[in-house]
Amino acid sequence: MTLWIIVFFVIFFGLLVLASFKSFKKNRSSEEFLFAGSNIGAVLGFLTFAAALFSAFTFMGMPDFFRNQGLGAWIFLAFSDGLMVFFILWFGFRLRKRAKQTGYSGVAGMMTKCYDTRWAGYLLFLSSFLFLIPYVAIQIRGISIFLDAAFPYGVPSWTWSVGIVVIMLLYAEIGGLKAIVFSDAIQGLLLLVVIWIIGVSCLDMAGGMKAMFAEVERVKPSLLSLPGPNNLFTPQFLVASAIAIVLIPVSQPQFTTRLVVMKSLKSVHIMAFAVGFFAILVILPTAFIGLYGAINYADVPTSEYLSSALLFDQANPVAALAVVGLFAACLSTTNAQIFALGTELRSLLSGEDKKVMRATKLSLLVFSVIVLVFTQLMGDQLALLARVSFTGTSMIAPIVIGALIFKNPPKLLIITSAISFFIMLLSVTGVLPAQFSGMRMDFSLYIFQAVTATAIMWAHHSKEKSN
Amino acid sequence: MKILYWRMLVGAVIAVALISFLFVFQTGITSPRLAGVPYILWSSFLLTVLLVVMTYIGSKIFPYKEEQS
Repeated sequence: MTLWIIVFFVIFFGLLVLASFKSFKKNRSSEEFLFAGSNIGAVLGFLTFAAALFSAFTFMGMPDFFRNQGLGAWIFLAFSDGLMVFFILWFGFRLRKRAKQTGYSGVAGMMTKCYDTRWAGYLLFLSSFLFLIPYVAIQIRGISIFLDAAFPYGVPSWTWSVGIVVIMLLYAEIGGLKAIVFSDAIQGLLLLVVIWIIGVSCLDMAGGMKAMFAEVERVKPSLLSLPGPNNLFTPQFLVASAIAIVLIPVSQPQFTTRLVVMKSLKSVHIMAFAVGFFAILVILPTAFIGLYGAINYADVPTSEYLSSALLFDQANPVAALAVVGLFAACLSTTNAQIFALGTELRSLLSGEDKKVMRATKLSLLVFSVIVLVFTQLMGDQLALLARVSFTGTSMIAPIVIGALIFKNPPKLLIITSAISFFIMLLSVTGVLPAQFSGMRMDFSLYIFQAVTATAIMWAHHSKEKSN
Repeated sequence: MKILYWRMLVGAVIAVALISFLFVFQTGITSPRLAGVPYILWSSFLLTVLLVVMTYIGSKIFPYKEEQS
């Protein structure tokens, strides 16, 4: 297998180097570096959006989620993604319109301009920083666990994490967002191919579709219905997850920026439904891999299950492709997120372009170091930790949506979002309980936000009309 | 006319979401099965395909145009 891994890695790194140097430009402005000249077409846009969305979390977290929590995992991610891509049709239009009016340097910077207060920008940056760093860290931790199993030569897992971050920083430094977009395209296609090969192989080993479900019914029937064996997929959980996922393009800057830098609204719309189809194609085989795990590896730890199902039970070339595919998935998602944090910070800075760009690049390094520290602290529940990230960042969504609807948006939206954001943060960290009045905290906060944001916007609209 | 179609489509997507969460995604149900696939998977799979198809239709009838810079 090692020989196959080396061959596939050489090809993958060759393509990365090509992408980086193709994107390299001397004396480029921070605009070119961070926004790829705002000229990304539908195909590249679709692949970069999909690659940023479907990452190591999808590859490793979703099979494990299906294995432990059952078929409701499809609703949690795929159905919610279906709602999200429809929402992008409207959101992409309003976002691009507003970005043209205000000038776009990042969501935080745009909100600072729209609300005419730095607090809006600071809150957006804080939300991205606090909830994206752990999300990036879980991706890297996931792949490190996997590489540990693939290369059991006594190399400590943190060396894999450092390796990933160094490669990511190198090609982001050389090629900027353009290099990231090209590498995303490579990764997106690789992910789709690898996950289907492994999914079909697992389905085959489980004896086909009918036999697989019959066997799951025999060993753990609760996996085949809601709310699953651990009562996770309650209506509250599924609805709150759907809201959090629909709001990903609103509240996670790596997606918001991708919508703005695309060539045209038509490209955004083509991208939206293409991502929807991609979601179905990518998530379906993770169900096969997960149910195969439920039959054969029901009670083993995540790392043992993943290394068995994705590596040791596969033919050598397939296992090698899985290692490279996972590495690529992890690389593209983490760089998208760390780069987005750099972009957001840059949007809050002012001054000479060269100085701002130097500070942005330095911030990428600092964020990477923080991520590396976090990788050593994270648990193995990839899918649930990813959900915490989606939910946490979604709390600031009313600020962004308010800015897209109103020319002079009401500042009260900043206050309601800040209240929700800090309550969510305290709940996630265990300072406040996970439930409120018998309801999940995230679900309660979405109700609070829906009521207060609607009331504030309605009052603001009426006031604007009467003036 | 395009605005009317768009609004109807938005209403339809909201209806699909509400019906799904209120009536389709029921707890403790595994049948009826479709080619051996349990109810919750095939029903949510078909609804996801429906949402993506609605997104495709939405991209075709979206009534607002982007201003050229």
